[in-house]
Amino acid sequence: MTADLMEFKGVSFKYPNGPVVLENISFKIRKGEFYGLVGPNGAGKSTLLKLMLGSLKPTKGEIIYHDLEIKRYRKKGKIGYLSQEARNFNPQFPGTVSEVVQAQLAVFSRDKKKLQARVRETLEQVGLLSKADQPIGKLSGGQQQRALLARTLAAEPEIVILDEPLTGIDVQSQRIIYDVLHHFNRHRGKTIIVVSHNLSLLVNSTARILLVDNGRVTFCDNTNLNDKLPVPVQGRQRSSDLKEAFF
Amino acid sequence: MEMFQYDFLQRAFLAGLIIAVICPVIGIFMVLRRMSLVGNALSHISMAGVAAGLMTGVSPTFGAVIVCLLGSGIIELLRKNFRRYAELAVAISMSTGLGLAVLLISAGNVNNATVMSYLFGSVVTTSKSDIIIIAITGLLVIVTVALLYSRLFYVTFDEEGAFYAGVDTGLVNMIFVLLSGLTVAVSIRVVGILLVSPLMTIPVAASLQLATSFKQALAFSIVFAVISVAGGIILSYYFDLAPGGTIVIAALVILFLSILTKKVLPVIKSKSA
Ligand SMILES: Nc1ncnc2c1ncn2[C@@H]1O[C@H](COP(=O)(O)OP(=O)(O)O)[C@@H](O)[C@H]1O
Ligand SMILES: [Mg+2]
Repeated sequence: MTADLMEFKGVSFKYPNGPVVLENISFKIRKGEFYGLVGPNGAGKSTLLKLMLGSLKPTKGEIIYHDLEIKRYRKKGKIGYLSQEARNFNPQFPGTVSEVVQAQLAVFSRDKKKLQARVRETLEQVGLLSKADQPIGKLSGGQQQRALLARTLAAEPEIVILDEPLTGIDVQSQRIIYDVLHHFNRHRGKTIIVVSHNLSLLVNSTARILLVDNGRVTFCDNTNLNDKLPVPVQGRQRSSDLKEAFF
Repeated sequence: MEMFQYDFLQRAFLAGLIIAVICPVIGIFMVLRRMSLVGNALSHISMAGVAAGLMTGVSPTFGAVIVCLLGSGIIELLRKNFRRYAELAVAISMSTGLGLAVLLISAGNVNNATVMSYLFGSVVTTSKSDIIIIAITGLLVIVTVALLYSRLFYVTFDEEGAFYAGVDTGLVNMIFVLLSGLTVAVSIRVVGILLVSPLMTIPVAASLQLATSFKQALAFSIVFAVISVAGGIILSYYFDLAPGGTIVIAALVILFLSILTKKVLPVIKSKSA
């Protein structure tokens, strides 16, 4: 029996001057599990992640953190978050891949030697060691996303939260990201929460699937996921389409 | 060189070199964060401090430091709380500074030549107290940037990511903009109010053409700024020109050369290969 990490209890959320995104949702996130979040565009997946991260507060209900205090966790670098927008950095930015990964580690550690060894180790994992000294802006979209993943994982966070890491990148990069995340989950016992339009590319049969739609969040059975998601859900706008794909 | 026989020129040169280091150090983060306008606004705000200093007989450089610190703090608060209107906040603080300055200058009957020397820079008027303020500020800027280097780098690359990685982005931003205010305030003595913002951005633009890492970009931009300032001061002395102009023109020549190097060198290489 794995321990609970966080619990949503009757959480509702509405943006000020914006739409009601989530209504009265309740679910638990357990330590060491792999979660896949799916749902149509605009359903509130990114919003849900930000609630988990504590940067948005529920308008109703509460989020209980067992075993972790989210703010302290963030301060200690125990949360790895890769946002949907991270790839929109200034393309003129001259920093190299290893400089970017190193910046993440240097926030918490001053040991230069250890730090560089760790940078190399993570870059090796995502297959970018040969690109270590190239400016991150010069890489392809998939390589950039892998570099950002390396940055996210470098400090060995306990929880990894990724928002659409596979969208718009090449197949090889998708494959590598899949492998790295599952390795991190299975062999290091880290909790992974990912949003993806293409869950069949990202999760295996042991993952737990959360469907976000119409303000609700429900767990789905994920056996034969590939049958249930025959076509990538990518780009689907209407929730009825998604339901057809699922049920 | 004969020009270094004069105390005032030694002082101007020393001040210029310190400024040449700190301007691109701050400028590189400003440029990459698309905050160059803030530097421009701060230089206009500094004018109100200079005017107040001239009127009251206190050091104008000191006046500029105080006003720039206040101004940068206010700009950052506005920027943080009204993100959508950030540009407007910058424009408003800029006009406020300029308006106040013109008011003070006209009310205080300040000598025109003195005003001009602050607008376009001057090498003959750098005083001992100026040098002390510039040196202390320079040290403060360099030490703080060195201590915050990773955090500044991170915030510049991806502010949201930095926040979630545990960086206190609010504090880092505030410190950064205060350092920018200080840098602008002490630079105007030599470079001039109108030309300090170019000194913060042009050497950076040149180094971005050639650098292949952030550290390299930082190093190149400092080298370019030092060459521009040293060259600019020497030229301005021999040809009796305002140093601000010669410095900025020197920086522009370097920018032109670096663009040329970037565009032309690969062509030559590929032809000879
Ligand atoms: N900062 C915001 N202010 C107001 N509305 C927002 C904001 N961010 C997102 N929304 C709205 O909330 C809904 C959910 O958005 P989001 O969580 O980004 O969806 P998803 O990630 O599932 O595509 C959308 O209708 C979106 O337009
Ligand atoms: Mg989203």
